[in-house]
Amino acid sequence: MSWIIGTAATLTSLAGLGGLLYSWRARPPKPVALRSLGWALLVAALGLWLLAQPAEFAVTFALFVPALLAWGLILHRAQVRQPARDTKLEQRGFRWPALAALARQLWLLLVSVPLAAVASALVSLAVTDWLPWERVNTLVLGVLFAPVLWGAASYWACADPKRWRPALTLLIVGLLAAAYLFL
Amino acid sequence: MAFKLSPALVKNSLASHSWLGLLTGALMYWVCLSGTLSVLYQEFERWETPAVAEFTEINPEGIERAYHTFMEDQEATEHAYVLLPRPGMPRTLLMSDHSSRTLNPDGSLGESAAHPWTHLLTDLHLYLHLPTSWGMILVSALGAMLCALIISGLLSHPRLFKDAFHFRRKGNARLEQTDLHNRLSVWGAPFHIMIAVTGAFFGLASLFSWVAAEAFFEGDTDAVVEEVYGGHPELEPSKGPLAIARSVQQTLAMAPEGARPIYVTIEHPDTDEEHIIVGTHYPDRLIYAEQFLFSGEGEFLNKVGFSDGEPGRQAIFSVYRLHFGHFGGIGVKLLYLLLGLALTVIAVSGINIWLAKRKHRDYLNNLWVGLVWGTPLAFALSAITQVLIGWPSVAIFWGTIVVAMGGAQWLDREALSRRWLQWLTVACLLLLALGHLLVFGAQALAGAALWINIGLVLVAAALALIALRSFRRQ
Repeated sequence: MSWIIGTAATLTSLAGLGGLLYSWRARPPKPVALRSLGWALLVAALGLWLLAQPAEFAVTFALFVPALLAWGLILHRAQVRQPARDTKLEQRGFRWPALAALARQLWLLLVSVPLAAVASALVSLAVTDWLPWERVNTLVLGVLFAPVLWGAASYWACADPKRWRPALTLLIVGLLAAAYLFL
Repeated sequence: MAFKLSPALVKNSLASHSWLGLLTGALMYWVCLSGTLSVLYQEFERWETPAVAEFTEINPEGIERAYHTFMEDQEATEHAYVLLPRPGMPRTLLMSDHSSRTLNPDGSLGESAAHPWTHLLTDLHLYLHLPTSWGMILVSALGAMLCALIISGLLSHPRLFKDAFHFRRKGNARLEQTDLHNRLSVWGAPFHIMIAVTGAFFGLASLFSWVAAEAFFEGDTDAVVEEVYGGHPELEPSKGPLAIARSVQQTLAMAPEGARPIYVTIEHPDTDEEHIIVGTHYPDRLIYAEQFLFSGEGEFLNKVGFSDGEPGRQAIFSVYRLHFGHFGGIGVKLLYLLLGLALTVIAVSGINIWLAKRKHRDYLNNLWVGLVWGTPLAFALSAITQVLIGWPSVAIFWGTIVVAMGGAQWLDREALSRRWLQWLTVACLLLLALGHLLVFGAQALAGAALWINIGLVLVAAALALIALRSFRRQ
């Protein structure tokens, strides 16, 4: 029985993706109702997965299976083009990178990896400590939240044209969190 | 209301995405590819040691007798384990801190349970073959960097929805790689976020426990571990003989229907602190196991609460199965294989796009081709030398990659290098499957070994097809 409902859930996801495909590729005016229906069907597929599988498995299937279906749709309707001729690219030998460029890369590395790591660990522990939960729950949320925060900090460190801004902010926020945790 | 990213944000995000991708490119590729293969590590372990007896029944008295026989010639050990048959691994193993043996169906001890090639694979994923602590922190940092790549990737894509189903194949190589990279990334994002967060956890946990210990537990890291994973039981010195069978039987009676013990841990054997932990698999949950604690004589002490305790405790013990796809049977493993392979392709295509955008070529083009296509060859060649010949093969694995990179630089033609490495991998995979059959005979055609050997031949066929198509495109 569960495989029948599982198949129904997969087909519902596929129908939802089909709705999104047509609504996103359509020329204006965009069929907004079809787009809403697409999202609704993807949510409905979660309901069917919940009938077919234990709750934790159902959520993972509802999130991961659409990826395979979407890739199948993409491959099915891919535009196969004439192979482009290989353009002759300029051949270059080994060149030492400029010292200034190396220093800039080193600065980005220091800010986006160790500084962002320490700041995000301290901030996530400090922020989750405010939650009115049992200690085990705040600790676990903190450790699972930290890589996302670290990732966001690394992104910002590399994206901000003003290089000093993320570094200074991470330093200050990290010190404030450390003061809260250790003083 | 239309959702639109500003051009400046897109430009800065793209710069950030490129920098982070280049920083992590090769390491991310190795971790993703080895992680994808590690989904099947149980099957690889069974393929590597096909002579080990397989059975699914649990005989508590037989296990207890085997444990005592196993421990007779063991040095003092902090822990001893009996790994019981479980989904995907119908074998029983006895382990101490020093050695391990398999168990035969008649209760006698079988051969050593060593499977060094599977360890080569999983150690690459967990530590990149670096010293354990540093390697795990580096791999965990890659999890955080993957989070950064997901955020920067999504913010650098102004036509995220409009292009969500768009794929231009075979035309301009850069456009094809860009479409491939973006389509695989966007739809696989939920899986990638899960892999990044759960992957980062394994190494960050030690850093975190240190910070949390200083902040909340007066520097006592053991207290952090006890808070999360459950405390040490209050024990009185053991008076009777070790009662493994009784503990397993009580667990079977107490656990919900369908749950079954998958391991027994004897903590501090032959000391006053000796006690037993019976880990029990709940087939409808993501938790690795619920733990039932017993005294050495088999008196029930408590249950840790991974199945029904605090949500945090349940979540933390679900990380392993969620990360490796070890739940819900072989279908989930195949799903994870495809999703993991897609993430590997994303890692490679990202660097390919950067190389194609440069408008010139140099040694980096060659070295990258050598690294990417030398790694599958290194896996296949190291499996031949380790599994079929018995040579320690970590050096062979890395040596193969270095030679592949050197060879690609010497040939100085990416397409030709790629095809050479693909054909060499095809040859090694076929040789591996054939050699496995010759070395292990009928055992190579049964159970997991058969499926892995079929898989090797299919992957060889797929690679040969890719190499042939690439030749025709030239």
